[in-house]
Amino acid sequence: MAKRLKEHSVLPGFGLTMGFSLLYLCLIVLIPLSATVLRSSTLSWSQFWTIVTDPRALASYRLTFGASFLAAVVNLVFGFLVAWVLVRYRFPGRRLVDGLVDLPFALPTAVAGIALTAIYSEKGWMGAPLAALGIKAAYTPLGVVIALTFIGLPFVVRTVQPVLEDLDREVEEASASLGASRWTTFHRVILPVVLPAAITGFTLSFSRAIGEYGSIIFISGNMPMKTEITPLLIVTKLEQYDYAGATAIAVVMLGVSFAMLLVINTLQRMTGQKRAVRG
Amino acid sequence: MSGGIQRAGESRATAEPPIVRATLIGVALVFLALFLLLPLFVIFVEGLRQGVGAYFAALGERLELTHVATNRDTFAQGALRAAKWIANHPAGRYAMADVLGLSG
Repeated sequence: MAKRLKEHSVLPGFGLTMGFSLLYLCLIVLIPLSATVLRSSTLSWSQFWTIVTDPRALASYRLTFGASFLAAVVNLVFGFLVAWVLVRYRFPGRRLVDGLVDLPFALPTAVAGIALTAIYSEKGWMGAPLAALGIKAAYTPLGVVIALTFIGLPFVVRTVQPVLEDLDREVEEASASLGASRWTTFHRVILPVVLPAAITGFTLSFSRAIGEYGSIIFISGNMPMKTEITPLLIVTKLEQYDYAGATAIAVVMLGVSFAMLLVINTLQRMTGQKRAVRG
Repeated sequence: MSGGIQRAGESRATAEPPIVRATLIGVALVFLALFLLLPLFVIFVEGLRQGVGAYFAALGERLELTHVATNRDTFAQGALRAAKWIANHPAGRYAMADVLGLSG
């Protein structure tokens, strides 16, 4: 194996860098993760199953994964749009807007949570008009989606933006000169190139949302069975010194997240390959 | 609108009609205003709500001890803890300080 890698690799120092990367991955990612699994393995299988299929836990998985998915979809659509507008069009205040996009990364999540709660509670600037329409935002799953959208906003913008910037205008000109309409050019020429980056942004936004805690606990109201997210359930169990129970739920979260990321990555590779074949 | 937005040297074949551009820019800006600017603005408004004077007064010195409950879980957990504790005790009159072991 080692010999074969050596023969095939054109990179100098491949063995060293590979070993270094693996060591890093082990220290920072794999060891903490295996500690989680080890901790929960102090439970018997039936205990584990009872904890992770508790109705309260099931309700929290539905909220966490459902709201994260919705928020990532919103971010995919609007993040793509924002990236497109920032790269392609010139308008006053463009640079300012470009800088503002990173705000959700810089703002402490708890501050963001409190600000969003203030805006979307029934007497807030957005909450009052929404309440007049009969929509409650804060302390409902909708509030969770709003907060998760805020948190994941920069990912799609920042992954799509450089790809759009590097896109060769000549390809679009060729497409237009061959009689394609602007819309055809967009979805047959531009979109396939940008799609893998957009999916990466979606995945990042989605996985960030699944683990998000700080901004949600204020706006959700944390009602068990209704607006309680899984990370909060884990913290609640930790506060009750139920370490095994907390890690059992963490293991389920990790497992589901890993499976979803694997599926999304596979999809992404497939879109990449399709493009390669077509090109 | 179109003159200011259109890139120099860009041919019409690889550009969207002005109305499409304006719509896209409008939608993107409204989305960002709602999701980014509004929270930022609220933070500043809330931070300076008591007036700039109060803010500068606070730069001198200040010691506060405040209890703010944002969640009923806290109280529920206290109640549960007290219930667990009292289950093993004979009938009588107890205070929270007894539950927490602070009564000596």
